[in-house]
Amino acid sequence: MTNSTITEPTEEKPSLLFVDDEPSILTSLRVVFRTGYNITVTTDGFEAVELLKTKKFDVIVSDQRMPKMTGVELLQHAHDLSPNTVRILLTGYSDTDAILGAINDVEVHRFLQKPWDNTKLKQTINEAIELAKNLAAETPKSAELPTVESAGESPTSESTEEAPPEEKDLVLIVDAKSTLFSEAQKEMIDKVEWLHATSVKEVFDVLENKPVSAMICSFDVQSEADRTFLQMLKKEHPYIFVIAICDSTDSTRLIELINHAKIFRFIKKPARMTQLSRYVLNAISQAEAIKNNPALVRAQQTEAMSDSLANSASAKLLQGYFARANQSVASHFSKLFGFFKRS
Amino acid sequence: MKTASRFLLVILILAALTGGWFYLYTHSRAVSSDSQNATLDRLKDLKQLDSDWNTNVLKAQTEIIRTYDPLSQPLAIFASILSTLDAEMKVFNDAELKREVEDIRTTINKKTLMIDRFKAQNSLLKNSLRYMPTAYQDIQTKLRVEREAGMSEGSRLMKDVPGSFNELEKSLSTMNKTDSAANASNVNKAIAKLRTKMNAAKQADVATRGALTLVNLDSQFSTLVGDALHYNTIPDTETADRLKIGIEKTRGGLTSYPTSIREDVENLMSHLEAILNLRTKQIELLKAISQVPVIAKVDILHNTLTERFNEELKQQYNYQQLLLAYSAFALLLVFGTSGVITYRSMTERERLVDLVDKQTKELKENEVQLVHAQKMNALGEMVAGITHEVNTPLAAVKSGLQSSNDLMEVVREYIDESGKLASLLSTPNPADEEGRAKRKTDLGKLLTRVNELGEELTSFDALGTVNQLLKESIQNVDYIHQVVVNMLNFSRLDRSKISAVKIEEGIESTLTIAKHFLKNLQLTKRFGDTQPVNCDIAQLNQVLLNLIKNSAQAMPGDGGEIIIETSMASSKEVRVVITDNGTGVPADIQSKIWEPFFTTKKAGSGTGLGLSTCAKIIKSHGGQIEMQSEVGKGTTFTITLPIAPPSSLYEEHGQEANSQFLES
Repeated sequence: MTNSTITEPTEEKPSLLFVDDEPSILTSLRVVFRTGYNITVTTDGFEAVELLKTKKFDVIVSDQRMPKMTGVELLQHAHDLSPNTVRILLTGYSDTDAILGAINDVEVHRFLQKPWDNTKLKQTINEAIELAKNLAAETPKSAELPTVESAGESPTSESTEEAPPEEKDLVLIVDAKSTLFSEAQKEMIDKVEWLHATSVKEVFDVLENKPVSAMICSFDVQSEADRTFLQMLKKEHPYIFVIAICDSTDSTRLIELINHAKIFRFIKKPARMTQLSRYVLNAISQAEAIKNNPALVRAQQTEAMSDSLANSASAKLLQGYFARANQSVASHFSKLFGFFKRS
Repeated sequence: MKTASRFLLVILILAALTGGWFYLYTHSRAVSSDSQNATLDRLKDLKQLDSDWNTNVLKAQTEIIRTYDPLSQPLAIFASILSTLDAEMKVFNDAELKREVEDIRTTINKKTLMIDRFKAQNSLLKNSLRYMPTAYQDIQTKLRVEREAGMSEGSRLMKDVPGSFNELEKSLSTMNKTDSAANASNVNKAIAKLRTKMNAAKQADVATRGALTLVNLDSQFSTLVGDALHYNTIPDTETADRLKIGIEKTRGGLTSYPTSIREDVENLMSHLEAILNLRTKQIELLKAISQVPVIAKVDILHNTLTERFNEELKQQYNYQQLLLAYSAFALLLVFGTSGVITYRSMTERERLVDLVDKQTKELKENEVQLVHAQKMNALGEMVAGITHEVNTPLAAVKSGLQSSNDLMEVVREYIDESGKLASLLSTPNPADEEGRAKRKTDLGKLLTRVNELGEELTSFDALGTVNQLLKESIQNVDYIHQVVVNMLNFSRLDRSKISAVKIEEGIESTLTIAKHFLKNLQLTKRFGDTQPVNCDIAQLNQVLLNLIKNSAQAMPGDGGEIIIETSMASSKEVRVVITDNGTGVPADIQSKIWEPFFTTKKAGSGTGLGLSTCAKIIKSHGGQIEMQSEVGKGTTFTITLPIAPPSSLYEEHGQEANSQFLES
């Protein structure tokens, strides 16, 4: 296609793929990343898929609303074709369905919103490039990141086989009510040990004493305190995969949760156990992957908290908890994974 | 369900009321005074019959009647009356009554037995009475013979006595004249003769006396017979005693009676005795018969029955009273119920009116809310479209301007450095060595910098890029402006009133709003030469957006075509036809699509108000909207709008139609 322009390949330069149906956007992006990057642009999703098959990209940035193929569909292809390519959505407007798809199906790294700030865009893309480089360098060719499908169907990867069979993964359910916990206790008892916390204090009690692989958090998406907690938690414990359960979907909040709290999966209430179990298995296998290759934890990096949240009362309250808990948790996980000190 | 059970309840209550009424009615009519009177009459008959019986017994006794038929005839009647009574008493099922009837029966039986005895005794009595005179006559006859014989013997004997006396007197006179032995013997002879004669006279006397005794005897018997007859007629104890004594006496003196009559006397005596005994017994029997308490028993039954009847009547009276009360109650109930129903229906009607008012109000409120919700929906849709439509060019503009700014920094530096270089070059070379060397280094530095900058700028045609970015930014800003203008046109916020608009303008502004979901569709516009339509174009734009959105959503996967045509349907009507080649609407739901809340979209993606609101808007404009659809081929919506809408539309908008007509 004439729409695509392949800049001359330079081995050292990071390679970026921009997909947007609006040529002026592509022009602008090309100008922003004019030096130091090896960029490829196209207005056609199908062409982008073809490019992913033939060429290696560090980062793919796609618009969501495009004719013929949506951004989520394209990133799904990218996830399958080139899992180490960091996926970013750049959208002017997204409905919640698209955002849920981006979180749960393609594990999008970041959401970027139009109009953007060139500096911030560059910064995000550079971080993504760094992550991609790290992933590419530290992921053995044979053991790629488990895909959603393979993770769901066959959670027994090489690493789990090596682990002692009696060692069950710990999954913490954070829910003020006990219904979810009692329901979950019937599921996957051979693989998972379920823990229950009804308050922030209990969460820290558990985190202090037990190496939790995944957390299921039922919370109010509109609650500032809850969001602050999730963001700070992920910042402090990037190796814990968080499955969020909310009763409402708000696109702005969802974008915030993926960018700042890096939630692993999102479920709209009421949560179905089958779906939840599948997501828990995904989370566990991801945790295993990080255990085997601690560098992968970089993918769990979050953006800095917004000033308003960082300065909120709940953030300050939580800060105390984290400070107290940090030491013991750090030692605990350093024992287990040995990467905490490094990072 | 509820109505059915309530209906059933009413039926049950009515049935119970009617049942109760009939129960009371039948019970208050149960006693038949006719049958009661008949029963009592029967008892009277019994009594009458009994007294007749008694009379007949007496009549039979006094031989007024000579046969016993009147005495046995009542038996059959008694039996029939009693059996009738039996039957009647059965109805009462009362042991007492039964027993009392049985009492009457046994009493009558007892009386019958007595009467039978009476009949037997009476026969004997009558027999004795009949044969007693015969026996007496026999005695009389025999006595008369005896007497006659005695009397004639006496008179025969006595007849010689006076002769003897005459002989004696003669002898005595002879003797006196002839005193002679002969004479004496003659006298003795006469005396002996006289003595014999005297004996004979004595005998005659005896015979006569005997005859006289017989006469006495006769009268004695006569007295006895008379006494017996008297006793038979008037049985008093005096007569009985006399008779008894007479009979004993007669029996005691039987040997003194002439033998010829002894047997007859005996016969008479036995008759007399029989009469005496039988009559005495008969009196007792009659007394006993008359004392047999048939009437008393009947009276008892009568009393009991009367009591029963009175009870029944009393009960019936009670039932009647009850029926009266019940009827009054039922009537009251019926009237009360009907009153309540009337009142209820009145209040219910009021309540219903209130309810309908309230619900109408609620419906209106709901409708307002729904219309509002739909407006918000449309607004959301519009905002979504506009956000995307604006954000994309805005992003390009922002990024472009930032980039331009960065590039212009380089350009500015280039110009600065170039200026410095130029001014340095234009300054005269310093005379001293040191100054010259410094100028050279400075020049070299500046030159290198300028070259560097120049290279950087030329490497990607900086000015060209800036030029392009700015050009594109202007274009994008124009585009944003266009979006804003179209948004305004779409919503017509500036003129929400009815005005003459060419429908194509509405279609164009709607298509701008719809652009974001029409991206992968082919759109064909075939606009005819139409006259402006007096309409609320904002509302019509809503309709057009809805239809176009439906068409776009009906497209399977990618591709598809939407054709929008406009034409004049007639000189006074404009027609808009929107055709798609989408999935089509199944025949079974084609009639439902105009209903409020109907939707085929998955939950959450639509309120289902779309087409019903579309139809409402078109209708308020006096137009029509129709749909033809075939599954797999596509759907066509046809809107026909009059150029001049009905006056009601102006009223809705608080405008006057006339002024509008003048304007247009």
